[in-house]
Amino acid sequence: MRYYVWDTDVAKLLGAYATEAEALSLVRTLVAHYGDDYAEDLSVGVERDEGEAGEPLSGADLIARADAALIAEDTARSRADGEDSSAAIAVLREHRAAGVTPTAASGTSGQGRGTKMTTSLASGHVEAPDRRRSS
Amino acid sequence: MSRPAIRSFYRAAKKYPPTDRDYLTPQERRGDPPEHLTPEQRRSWTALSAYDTEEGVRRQHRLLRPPGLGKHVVRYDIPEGSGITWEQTIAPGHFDLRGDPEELKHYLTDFRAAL
Repeated sequence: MRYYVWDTDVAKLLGAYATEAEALSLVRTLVAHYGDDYAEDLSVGVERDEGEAGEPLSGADLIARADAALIAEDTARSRADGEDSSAAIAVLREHRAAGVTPTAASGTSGQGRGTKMTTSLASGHVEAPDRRRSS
Repeated sequence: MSRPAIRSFYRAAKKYPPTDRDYLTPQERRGDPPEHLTPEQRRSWTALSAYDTEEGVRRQHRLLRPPGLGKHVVRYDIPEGSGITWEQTIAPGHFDLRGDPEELKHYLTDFRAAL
């Protein structure tokens, strides 16, 4: 499996990764720096080992997936550490508001409010916290 | 006297011939990259993407299928030693091109294919 991050507006390949988490980390870095609107020009495509293409993500779907992946990582780490907190989503939003690049290794861990977010980009299906832009 | 070797690269373009907009790098379009990017990513931010085969562009299009990506494959035949430089980066077959866009336009061939 290989994940590719593109800026489709300037047709520039920005990264190629073995894991979705790495690709989404780059997306979060870029969106944190340039704002959510940049996601409209970002696209993450996946190529399966047999060469078949998965469903690419961009725009609000991509942001939702990136956020969901971060919270899922955070939740998993929290469980592994035996912690009991519920502020992951709030911390993520606070980070965004402050322009801080959120990573799975930073911030408060939590249970993600029980949000279902276990599907992957490779499956072409996303369920994530509803933080889509209203504009 | 021998001719300089020619290296061919392929890119997606929104129009044919490509407009000035097709020659924008992320740096020119967005400004400085985030500090969190790796040195390699920051370096690549100032370049144009290209492939060493037409199939590379088609593969890119197949993976992304975005409405905004160009519908044309165009080819540049770039002489070695010109003002345009290239560097293999990020993925096999993918290259970062750098140099004066006006010079790069001179190396556009009449080749084009639809995606």
